[in-house]
Amino acid sequence: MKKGNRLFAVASSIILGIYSLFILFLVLWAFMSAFKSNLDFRYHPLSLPSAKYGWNVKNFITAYEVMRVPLATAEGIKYIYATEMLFNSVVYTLGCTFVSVFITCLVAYCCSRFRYKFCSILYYTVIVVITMPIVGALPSEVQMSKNLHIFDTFFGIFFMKSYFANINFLVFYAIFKNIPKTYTEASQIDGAGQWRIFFQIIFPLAKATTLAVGLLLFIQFWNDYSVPMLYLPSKPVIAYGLYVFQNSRSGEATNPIKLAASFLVCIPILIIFVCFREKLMANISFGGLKG
Amino acid sequence: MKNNIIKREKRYKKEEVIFLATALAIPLLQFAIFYIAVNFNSILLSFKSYTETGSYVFAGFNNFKQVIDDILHESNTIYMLKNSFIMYLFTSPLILLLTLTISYSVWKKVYFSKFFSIMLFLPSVLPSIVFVIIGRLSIQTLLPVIFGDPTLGEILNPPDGFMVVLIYQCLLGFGGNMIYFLGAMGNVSNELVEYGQLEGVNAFQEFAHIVFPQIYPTLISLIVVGVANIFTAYGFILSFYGTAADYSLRTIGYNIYINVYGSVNYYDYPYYAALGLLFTAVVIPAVLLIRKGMEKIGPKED
Repeated sequence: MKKGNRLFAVASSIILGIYSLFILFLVLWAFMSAFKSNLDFRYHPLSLPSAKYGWNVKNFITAYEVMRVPLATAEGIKYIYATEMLFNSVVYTLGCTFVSVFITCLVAYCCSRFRYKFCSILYYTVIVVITMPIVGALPSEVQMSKNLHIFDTFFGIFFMKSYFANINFLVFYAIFKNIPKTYTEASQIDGAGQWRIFFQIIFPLAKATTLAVGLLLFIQFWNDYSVPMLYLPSKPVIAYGLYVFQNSRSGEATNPIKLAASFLVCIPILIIFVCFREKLMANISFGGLKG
Repeated sequence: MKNNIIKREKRYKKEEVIFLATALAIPLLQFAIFYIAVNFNSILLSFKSYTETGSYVFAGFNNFKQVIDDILHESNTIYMLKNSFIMYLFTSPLILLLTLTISYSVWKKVYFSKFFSIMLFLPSVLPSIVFVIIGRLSIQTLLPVIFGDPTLGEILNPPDGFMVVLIYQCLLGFGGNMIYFLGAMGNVSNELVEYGQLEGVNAFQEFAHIVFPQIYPTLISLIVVGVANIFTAYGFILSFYGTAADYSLRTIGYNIYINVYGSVNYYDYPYYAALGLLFTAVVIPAVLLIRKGMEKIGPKED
């Protein structure tokens, strides 16, 4: 290795090493603190759980039991606990991921594989929408969803998320554009219908990218709380539960308990990250916006 | 024979049209409602005003006048505007350039690059609210202990809190865009890289002349998206401070969000619709100019 390249490698490694240690320190400190009692955390924030107070594994159980979101109903305040919030998260995340990936993939396929004028117009519309941002449509969007009676419903949020004018459209478009037309022609000659060609011939060729995009969107939707907070006020998700819990002043919501709750919420995402790390960080590329 | 071919072609065309109609029905309906109709409604809303009877009336340009007046004279709005631009400068150009450099290092497979890529990506994988909780507690409890200064535990309070949160957000924000840069770098031809190495280029030259031109379109796209988010972004402000942040900590995007969230009737909606339209009129030309400018001055792949 040349001297210049070695210098670059060493300098990069040192900088990245310092940064990585910073992240690792934060995460490990938080994890260690989640096992402490409140007094131990307050008086010995930097040290391991002391022998006097011990390792409080039950902090995680307590966190699961006390994490709750108050909901104003006609009958008074109703509390939504972690189990129901988990259920809401699973429904919200899986539904939005499926709808978002499938619709974007389908529209990108239509735009890239069919030589109709309408498909070209649709493609350029997507480019324009991505590059021409609209600010402040949020009030109108909330009003529209309430007027259509789909506000605060899972169906409503799934319908809103079936939005294809996003960066992932370009990812899928690039993939489908590069698949030779001969695949489609051969399938047509063999008598396959268009839906069959899409699902059995073309879509499998984009499986890896679809999985990577799907995983990224799953993580994004699982971690999101601001959209469900606005559009699903009576169906709080677990991320929103954590957001509310972090500001809780109740006696049970001590700082170690809050940290324990944080790690509980991370478990599904960590499992996905460990299982699919290579696929998550595989090549996702889009050609950029030209013209 | 010729008739059969023509019949077959017609059948294929009919199948394609039916397929396109069924495949695009729901996406186009969603687009028609939640893009076209919503934005049209937003324009109409900006010319309305809420009455005591609960209905809207035509208000002319009153909302726009109010917005312009607030931008020019109202200190809270000026603060929020300033914060929005600061947030953009930190989270878009600065972070993107750093992410680009880091992505290149990981792509070059520097020592321990696999471990680094996991650490860089981790903050983007875990919920941001988790890192907010960790960040808040570490600032409030660790900083005073490490540096022996109890006042350091208060740095999240206004007015310093905004920069503290922004810096923390930037520190955690590298991994998100790294995936797109790594994807683009993955398309760099191996032959080109090998040729460069045979010619004796060092890492900096390789980045400048081989890698950067290849990933430049991706960089343009990400910068354009960042500009588009200037007036809608609120970063970690909502997570750290909830819906009652001090005005010195707010951005325009945060203010729009919490006023829509907290609105009992639609009273404030016309004002924020007008605000959004005015900023859209600023952002769209800015996006077009920036994109054109970057395409003109940037390197070409050939």
